[in-house]
Amino acid sequence: MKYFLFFISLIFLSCSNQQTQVIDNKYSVYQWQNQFILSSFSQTNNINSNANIKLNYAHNISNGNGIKIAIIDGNFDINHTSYKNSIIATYNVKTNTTDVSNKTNISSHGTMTLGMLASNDIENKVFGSAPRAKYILIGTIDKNDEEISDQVAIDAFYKAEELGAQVISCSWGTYQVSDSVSNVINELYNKGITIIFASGNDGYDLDSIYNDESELSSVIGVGGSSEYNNKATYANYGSNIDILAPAGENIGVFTSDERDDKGENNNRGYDINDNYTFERGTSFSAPSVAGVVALMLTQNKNLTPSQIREIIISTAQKIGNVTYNHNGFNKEYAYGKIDALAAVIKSKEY
Amino acid sequence: MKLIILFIYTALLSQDFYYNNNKKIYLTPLDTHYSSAFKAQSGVDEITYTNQNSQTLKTDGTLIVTLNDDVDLDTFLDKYSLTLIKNVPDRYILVKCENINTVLEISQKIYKDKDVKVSSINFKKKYFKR
Repeated sequence: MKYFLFFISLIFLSCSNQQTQVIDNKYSVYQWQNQFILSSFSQTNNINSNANIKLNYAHNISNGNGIKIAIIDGNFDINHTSYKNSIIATYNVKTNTTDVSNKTNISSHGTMTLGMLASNDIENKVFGSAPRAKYILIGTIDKNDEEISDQVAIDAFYKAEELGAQVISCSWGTYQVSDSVSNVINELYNKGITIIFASGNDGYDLDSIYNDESELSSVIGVGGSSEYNNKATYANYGSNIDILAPAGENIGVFTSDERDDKGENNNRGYDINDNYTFERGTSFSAPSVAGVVALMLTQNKNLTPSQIREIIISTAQKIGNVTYNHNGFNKEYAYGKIDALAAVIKSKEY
Repeated sequence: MKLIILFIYTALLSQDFYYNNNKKIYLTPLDTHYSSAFKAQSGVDEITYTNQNSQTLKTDGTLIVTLNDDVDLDTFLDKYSLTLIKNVPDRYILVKCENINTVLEISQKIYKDKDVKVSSINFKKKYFKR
C-alpha cells in the first residue's frame, strides 16, 4: 500500500510538473528559432533540436540593452504591446512625417520583422533577438506602394543614421542596387554602423545575374534556415551571402502580428491569440542577425562592422551535412547558421 | 545566326543604357500606352523600361548626384540644363532633366563627369518584401 501511494504521488507530481511547464513556457514553445523545447508542437512539426540559434543562452549574458537598432520596412503596428515601449523614434521617408502606422487590415511586413527583434512580452513569453534594445522605425511606403525609389532608400539610411542607429535591419531588396544607394551604405559602414539585409525568397543563385543589396561587401547578407536545421529551400544564396538564420520551411517562425483580428492570424491550429502569427521568409532571418549584433555590441561597444562580420562567420554553426571549403564557406549555406551564444561570448574577449 | 548577329549589333548601337557599377545596363522602353495613360491620369511624366533580367525600372527624369568637393552647383546645373529639386548638403542633390526623354543620355554624361563622385538615375524599382 505504501509503495502504491508513493507511486501515485510520483505520477501526480509528474503531471503537475508538466502542467507547470506548459504554463511557464506559454508561447515560447512556438519560438523554435530561439531555443528548443520538447513539446507536442516540436514533435508534430519535426523541429530539429539544433535548429535554433541558442538565443535563450545568449540572453543570459546580453539582451541588447543600450543599443539603438533601426528597422527600415514598409510600415508597422506601433502600438503592439510586445514592443511598443521600446520604440524611441519613428519616421516615414516617403511622406516626411512621423506616421509609420499601418492603414490596412493586412498585416504590415514591418510588424512581423520588428517582432523578431523587439518582442518583449513577459506575460506570453515571447522574446525577440534583442528585447532590451531601443528601436527606430523607418517607414518607406505610403499606403500600399510596391515600389521604392533610390531617393527614398537613401533618405531612409540617412534618417536612421541621424536618429542614432548603430545597427540597421533591412528585410527587403530590389535585385538591382544602384551606385548611389551602395555609396550611402558604404558611407554608413565606414562610420561604424552595421547593416543587415535579407537575401530573398526566390531560390535564386544571386551570383548568376543579380546585383542585390544583400550581396554588398559592406552589408551582412542573410539567407534562411529551416526548422529541420537545413537551408530553407526557397532562400536565395550566393558567394556574397554571409550567414543563415531561421526563416522556416513549413511551419515558419513565430512572430508578432497586427493586433486583434487584423493581420495574418496564422495560428496553424494552435491556441495562440491574434497578436502573433507564424510566417516564413528570409525577412525574419535578417532581424535575428541584427538582434545578435546588438547583443554583441552590448558586450563590446568598440566592435566595428568588419569585426562583427568576422565574429559572426567564425562562430557559425556548420549545418546541413554539406562540405564547407577551407575558409568555412559553402555557396548555399554561406558560413553556416548564426550562433548567438558563441558570437556574444567571442565579442566580449575580442 | 544572322538574327543573333543582328541582335548583338542592335544592342551595341543602342543608346538606351545607363551605367551602374561601371557597367552598361541596357534597357528596353516598355508599354508606352501605359505611360501615356499614367501621365494623363496623374500629370506625372514617367518612362518605364525593362532591363536584361526583365526587371522593371521607372524614371520621372530625376537623377541623384553627389558632387566632388569644391564643385560649383549652379555651374553643374547649367552644364546639363538641370533643375534642382532637392539639396541635402554634403550628401546628394536630386535634379531633374529638362526633357525626360534625355535622361539616359544625360545620366551617361554625368556618370563620366570628373566633377561627379557618384550618380544614378532615381529609378523606381519593385520593392521585394522578403
